[in-house]
Amino acid sequence: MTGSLAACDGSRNSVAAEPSIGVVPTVTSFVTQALPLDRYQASVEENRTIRMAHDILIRDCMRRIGFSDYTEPSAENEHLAEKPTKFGFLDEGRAANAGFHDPQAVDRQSPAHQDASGASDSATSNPVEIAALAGAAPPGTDATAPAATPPGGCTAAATRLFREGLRSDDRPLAADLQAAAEERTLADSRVITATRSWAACMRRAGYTYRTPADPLTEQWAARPTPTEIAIAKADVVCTRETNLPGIAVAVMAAIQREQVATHRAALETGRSVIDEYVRKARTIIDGGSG
Amino acid sequence: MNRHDRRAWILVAAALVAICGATLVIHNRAAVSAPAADRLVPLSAEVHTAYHEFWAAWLAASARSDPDLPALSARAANPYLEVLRANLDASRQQNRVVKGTVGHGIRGMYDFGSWYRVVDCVDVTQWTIYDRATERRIKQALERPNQLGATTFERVDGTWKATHGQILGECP
Repeated sequence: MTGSLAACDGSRNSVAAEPSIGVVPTVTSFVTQALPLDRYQASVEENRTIRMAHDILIRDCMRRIGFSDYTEPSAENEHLAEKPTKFGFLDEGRAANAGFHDPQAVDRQSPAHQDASGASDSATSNPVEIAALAGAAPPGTDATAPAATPPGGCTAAATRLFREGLRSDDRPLAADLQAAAEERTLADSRVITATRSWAACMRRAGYTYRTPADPLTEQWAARPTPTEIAIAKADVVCTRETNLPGIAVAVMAAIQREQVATHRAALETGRSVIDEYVRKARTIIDGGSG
Repeated sequence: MNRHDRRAWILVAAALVAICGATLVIHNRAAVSAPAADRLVPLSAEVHTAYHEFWAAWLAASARSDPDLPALSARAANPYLEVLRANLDASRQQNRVVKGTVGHGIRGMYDFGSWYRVVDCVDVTQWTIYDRATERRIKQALERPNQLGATTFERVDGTWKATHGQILGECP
């Protein structure tokens, strides 16, 4: 489904005027959508590189304080699965299997993930190792980290070492702008109209919700119930039927284009900070000093 | 320490370093902002009664971990009833019951014409978990003693029943 929507003339000169959005795309996946602010944030691969380097620094610290067999976890790719969102839910398979739950969390509760004693595998953790990583005993234990453990544990030490000589990224502008763009998108009249259509569709399916955000805050059982799964599947149907994601993405992209035009210089500075982080991470991974 | 635990701890730390990903990030914060035309109004008499009768039934069912308590199905309907029953069933399997009282700081309700959503700051500090057999209190860490909750009421079979429960976050 495509269509064209334009901003109201009467609000054209307002700071928070609704932007023109042109042709509305039919969105079938949230995770593959490219938006203008993306360039100013770390990509999945860049985040993975930074995480790998950080893991190496943790490993080196743990080995220094006596955990000679400590190995860093394998750098798994960031989980980029479709999720239920404030703008709807697009993954029919996930809805059918896990409802609104995180499928990985549901898997972890399954009998296959429990040992013979019935305890989940997380019960086998070594509190001393956790204390060395975190700098404090895990809750409910009196584990003591080795005396040589740095303040805050090896995790904090790795963070300090990684950040040494780098500019701060504590408040990345791109993330703030992205949050603001989302707020404006939620308040946009075209998105509100599509959200009402979504709610009407859900109502026809027998479920009373006002927005796709409602099921995200709903109290669900520990494991998905049949009704939760039925609601999640209806959410997918209604999300597709109304193309709420397409309208939301079109609006958000238009807002972000405005933001980039207004804040380009600061955003480029932020991008150069990310580049510094990635360069340092690659040096660490390649065996250079942190 | 196994791989899952280690990963969890390291991810916490990595969050300090990593910068947000580049794909469309949809924040899942509790937000009831869109569409945002509503305002909280005082509870009508019938919703006030339905809300407190629902809580009375839920407290009674929790005190026995009884998913089949008739009072509960009289005051709640699906999908919420299914969730409440699943939670009670889990408590029963763990030999736990929850006893005591909760405090209410009702903020009002949203009126959607044919249905209502009651917003309440619920104080659960006096609602505690006990071992069902020994009746000994089980130590529990209360991360959020006050929770801002929203409960949806719809007319089901002629009775106002709780059909959805939401946790909106901490009480402002």
